[in-house]
Amino acid sequence: MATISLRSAGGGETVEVRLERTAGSLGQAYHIVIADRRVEVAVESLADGAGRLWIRGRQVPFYLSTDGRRIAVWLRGQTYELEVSRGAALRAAGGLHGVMQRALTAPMPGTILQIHVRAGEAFQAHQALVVMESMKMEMTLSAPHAGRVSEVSCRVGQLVEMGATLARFEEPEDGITAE
Amino acid sequence: MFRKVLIANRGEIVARVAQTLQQMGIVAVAVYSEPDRRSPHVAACDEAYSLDGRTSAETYLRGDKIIDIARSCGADAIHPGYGFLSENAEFAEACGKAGVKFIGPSPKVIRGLGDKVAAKEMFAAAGVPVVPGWSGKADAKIEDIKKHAATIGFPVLIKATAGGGGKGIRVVENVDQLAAGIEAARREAEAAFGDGRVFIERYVERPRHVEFQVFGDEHGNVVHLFERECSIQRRHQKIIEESPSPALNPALRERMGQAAVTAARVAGYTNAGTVEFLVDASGDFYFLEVNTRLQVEHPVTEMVVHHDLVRAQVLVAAGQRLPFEQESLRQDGHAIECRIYAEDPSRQFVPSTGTIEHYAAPAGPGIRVDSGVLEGSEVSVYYDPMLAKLILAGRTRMEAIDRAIWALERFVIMGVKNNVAFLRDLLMHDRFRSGELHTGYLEEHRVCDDRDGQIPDEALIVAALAAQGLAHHSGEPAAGTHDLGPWEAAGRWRAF
Repeated sequence: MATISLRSAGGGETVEVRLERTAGSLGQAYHIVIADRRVEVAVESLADGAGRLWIRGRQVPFYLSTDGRRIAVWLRGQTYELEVSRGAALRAAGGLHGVMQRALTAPMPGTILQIHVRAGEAFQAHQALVVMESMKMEMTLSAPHAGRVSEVSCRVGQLVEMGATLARFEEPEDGITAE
Repeated sequence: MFRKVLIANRGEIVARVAQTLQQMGIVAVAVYSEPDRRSPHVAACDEAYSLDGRTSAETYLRGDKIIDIARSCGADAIHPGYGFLSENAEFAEACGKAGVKFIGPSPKVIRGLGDKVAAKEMFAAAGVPVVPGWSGKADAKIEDIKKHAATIGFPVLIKATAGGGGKGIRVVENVDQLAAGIEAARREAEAAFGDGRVFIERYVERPRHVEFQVFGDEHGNVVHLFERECSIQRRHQKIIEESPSPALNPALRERMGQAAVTAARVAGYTNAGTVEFLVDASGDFYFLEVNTRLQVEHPVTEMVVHHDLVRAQVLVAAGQRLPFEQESLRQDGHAIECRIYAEDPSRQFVPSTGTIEHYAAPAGPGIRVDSGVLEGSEVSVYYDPMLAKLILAGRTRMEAIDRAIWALERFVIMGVKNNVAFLRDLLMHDRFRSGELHTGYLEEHRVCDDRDGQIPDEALIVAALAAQGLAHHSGEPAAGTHDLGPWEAAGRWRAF
C-alpha cells in the first residue's frame, strides 16, 4: 500500500491517491482509492513512455514523461502536468503568494525590446514596464499592481528564457496597496 | 519541365512541396538554418544546403544566399512556400535575373498587390467592393494618420502595408492609443517584412473572413477554386479554416467568385493566389487583400476540389496551361483544417518552446497531416510556432468536424504546450457547430475553461504509478520515487 499526494504543477488542491497491488489477469493490477472513489485498474506499458490503463473493459491510452520534478500525462489530446506535493508546509507557503508580486518574470521566451522603468522608479498598476518579442509577436508586460522597482535584471536586446526575472520590486511600503 | 527545384522555406510546407515535386519527377532541394539542420523538412528533400546562420534574417530571408545556392546546385526554379520571401517582389525579380524561375506571380504583380493601398484603389475602380471608410497613406506621418483615423471613426485597424499572416496588425480603440499602436505595428512589420510602413482602415464589426483561391496561367486563363472560411482567429491569425463556408449560399458564392476572378484578371495574375474578403452579417462582402502566394490553408481547397495546387503551380510556372477549367471545378464534400501551434491557450496563446518528447499524428480515411516536426524536434524562439496542420475531409460539415474531434483526441504532442485540446473544445462548441462564426469569435466566446483542478482520475492514476516507478516513462525518475512501496522490485518494467 502506498499513498501519493499529487497536485497540478504550479499549484492547486492536493489529491491523495492510494495504490494497492492486487492480483489481476491483465498486467499489473491495482486497487486505487481517490477521495471516496475506488477504481480497479490494470496498467500496461507499451513502449517508451506510452501505455494503457484497463479500467474493467475500458481502455485508456496514455503517454507519460517527467523531467524529474513534474509528471506530464497525456490523455485524449490533453496533457496534464502534475507534481508530487511536498506536504502541508509547502502548501502553506504557497498560500502566501499572489497578493503582491516581488518580481516581473518573462511569460514567454524571447527578446527584450524596451524597458520603460529604472531602478528606484515608482510605477502605477497596469503601467507598461517591459516590451518583449517572441516569434515576431510583441507583448507588453504591465505592472500587476503599483510599486517601486528595486532592480532591473534584463537589458534591451537580451534573449531570455520563460520565467526569467526581468525586474525586482521593492517590499511594499505603507500606503501602496495592491489593486 | 523543371529538373530541380529549390524550396526556399522551412517546416511543413517544404515537406508538402517536396512530395509533389518528387511525384512529378523533379529533384527537391532544401535549405536550412543551423537550428534546422536535423529538421524533417531537410530529410523530406533530395538535396539540402546550409544557409549558415540562426535567425530568419540571417537565413530564410537571405534571398542572395538562396539564389547562390540555387545556381550552384543547378536548380531551374525556386518555390518560395509562404511567409519569408514568398511575397517579396525584389526576390522574385532577382530570381529572374539569375535565370531561376520564381514559382509564383510576376514581380510586377507581387509589387502591385503588395502595396495594399494601391491594390484597393485598383480593385475599387474595377467594381470590386472594398472595405468602407478606407483612407490613409502608405507612408503617412503619425499626425496625418491621427487625422484620417478621426475621419474614419474608432475603432480602427492598423495593418502593415507589406503585411500578411497577421503580423503588424493592431486594433486601436481610441486616439490616445494610436501613436503607441502605430509604433508597435511598425516595429513588428519591420522585423517581419523588412518594411515598416503601415496603414489604417475601419474595423468592420463581427465580420467573417472568407477568401477565394484563384489561379491564373500565362495563356490568359483565370479561375477560382471556391472559398475558404477562415473566421476563427486568435491574435489575427487563422487557426481553423474550412470549405465550403457555412455563410455562403450558391448565389453569394457565385458573386464573390466572380469578384475574385475580376480582381485576378485586373491584376494580370498568374499562378496561385488568394483574394480575401470580409463578409458582414447582412451578406455584404468587401475586398480585403490579395495574398500572392500559396496559403497555409491550401489543403482545405485541395480536399474539396481534388486537385494538387502545388502541381498546378509548377505546371503554370513552367509555362503550361492550367490543369483545370472553371466549368469542371466542383466543391465536393467538406474539408476543415486545424492549425496545431506550440502555444498556451490558457495564457493568451503565448508561444511555447522546448523539445517534442512524444509525437504521434492520427491517421485514417479522410485525415491528412502536414507536419513540420518529429519526436525530438526543437521548437525554438527563432521561427513561427506552427507545428503541423491537421486536415479532415467529410461528406458534410458535421462529418468533417466529428472526424476532426476524433483525430485531435488521438494527436499526441508532449514537451511543448500546444493548442490540440483547445481546438477540440472549440469544435465541440455549439456556436461553432452551428456555423455562427466571425473573426472575434474567440474573444466573444470563452471556449477553453480553466481546467486547473479538474484533473481526471485516469491522469492521477498514471501520475501516481509514475511517481512510484510503476509505469514506464521517458525522462528522469519523477520526484518522490525514493519513496517506493513494498513492491519496489517490480519497479521498472515494460510490456508484459
